[in-house]
Amino acid sequence: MFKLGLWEKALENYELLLTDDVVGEIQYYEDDEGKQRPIDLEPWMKKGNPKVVSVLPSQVSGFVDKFDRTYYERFDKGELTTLTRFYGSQEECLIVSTDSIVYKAIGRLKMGERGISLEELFKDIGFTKRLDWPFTEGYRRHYTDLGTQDFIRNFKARS
Amino acid sequence: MSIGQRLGEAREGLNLTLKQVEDQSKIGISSLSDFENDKREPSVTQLQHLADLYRKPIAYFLDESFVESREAVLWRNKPASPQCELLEAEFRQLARQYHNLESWTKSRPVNSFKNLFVNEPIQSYPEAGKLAERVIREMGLGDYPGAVLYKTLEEVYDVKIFHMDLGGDGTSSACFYDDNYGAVIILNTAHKKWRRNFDLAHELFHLLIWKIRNHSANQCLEGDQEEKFSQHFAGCLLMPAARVKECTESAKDHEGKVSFEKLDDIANLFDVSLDALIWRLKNIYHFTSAEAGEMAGESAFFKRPRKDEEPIYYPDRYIALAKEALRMGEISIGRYLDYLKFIKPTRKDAEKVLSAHVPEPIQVPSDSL
Repeated sequence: MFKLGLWEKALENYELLLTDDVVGEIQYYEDDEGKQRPIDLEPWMKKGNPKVVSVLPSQVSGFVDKFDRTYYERFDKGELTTLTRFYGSQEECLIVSTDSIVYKAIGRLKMGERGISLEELFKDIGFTKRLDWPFTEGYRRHYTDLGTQDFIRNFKARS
Repeated sequence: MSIGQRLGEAREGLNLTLKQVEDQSKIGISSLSDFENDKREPSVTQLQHLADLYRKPIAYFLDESFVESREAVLWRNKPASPQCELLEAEFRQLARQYHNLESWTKSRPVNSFKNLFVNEPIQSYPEAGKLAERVIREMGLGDYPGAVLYKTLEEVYDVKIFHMDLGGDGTSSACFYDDNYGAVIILNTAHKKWRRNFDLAHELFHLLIWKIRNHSANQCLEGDQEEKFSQHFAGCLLMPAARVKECTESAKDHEGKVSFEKLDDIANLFDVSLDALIWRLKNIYHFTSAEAGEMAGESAFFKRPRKDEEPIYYPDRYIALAKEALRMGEISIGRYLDYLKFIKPTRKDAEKVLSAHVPEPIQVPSDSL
């Protein structure tokens, strides 16, 4: 979003929720020349968007232990805390990622309709240029469907 | 066990003090102490940081059902503590990661290493030599086993072979066998290719007798009987007698002698050092130890540069499985980068892996439930 200059526009249209583990990972973006540009979210966080939440290890294990213990090894901390928060969220929210496993996980959780790709998000704010595969709606649908297939397979195995 | 207890256990397992952990992690001693005494929960970021320091997966601290391999690592010249504990932790982590990738991509080896285990103890040099002949036959290694041993072990028998910097002070290699991870070998990046090849064959012997060997000591010293047999086995495996004799006979001059230059060519052919070849010739031609020692001494003055090969940190198969797991949606980008941390791929590299293969749309049956 920073690279495409869409960050501020996205914040005008959406309320963004980030875990503090994800915030810790956002330090820079690469411009078109491959140069690293620092990102400082502090000014926007002070205004309340994005909102930052903490997720404790005990909350993570509460979520993971219910579904798939291999998630500990498959996800890094940013996705793990995001998914934990997303699953336990009372609010109506969507999850966005370029990580195939995130969409697969929400497919497995039968929450596929709550995923959104960057392509769909950008369309909402008037940006329609072609994006690489991991940012597209097709990518999101593909991996969500793979997760849904897993859910169906496991359901049939249990019944 | 609580998170705190596991943190304490992991730290003590590496013989680290709280002060040392504070210096390396930048987490204060009082916080570390609170975490270990379960007075406070670390953040997930702090927990991951400590997990990385202790060479443990985060699952070790959060998943009560997590079971770690307890098999002792067998060292050839064990490094001193705490280097030894750190290397072993790193070694186990790599083995576990490799195993995870195989599991997530549902990849199965062509042949199981279990089929190669020896059931009767090896009690003499001729028996070690016969074992080498059997292995050459069963694995189909051909006349020049050194050229194909690495690939055969890795791709056909699922032996996990890694290279690490074990230092230049004599630690050559290590191995262990675990019922979940299979056979695992670590070779020293500080050594030349032909030395690593010999170490590989040497570790193979230890693994073949794993189920019947005495595990009371976790290192093999030079004078030990098992160590002598493994050296003999390695020589016989890499330099099959008939082929070596054929090469040596055809290299003889009109006086029936073979120059060091020609011997070095033969050593190169079998992917071993000149020294290793001389000791093999001792067995084949029945020289005395004194004669072989004299030859080896003279050969030390014969130096000819040989092309070395940079060791690959991660096996090709490991990298391929990591990419496959990413494409299948079985591992996150962050974890993928972690699994390949020593070759430092970037997020962009990972996205290229994902973009390289745009799959066909999937049909999810609507009436399936």
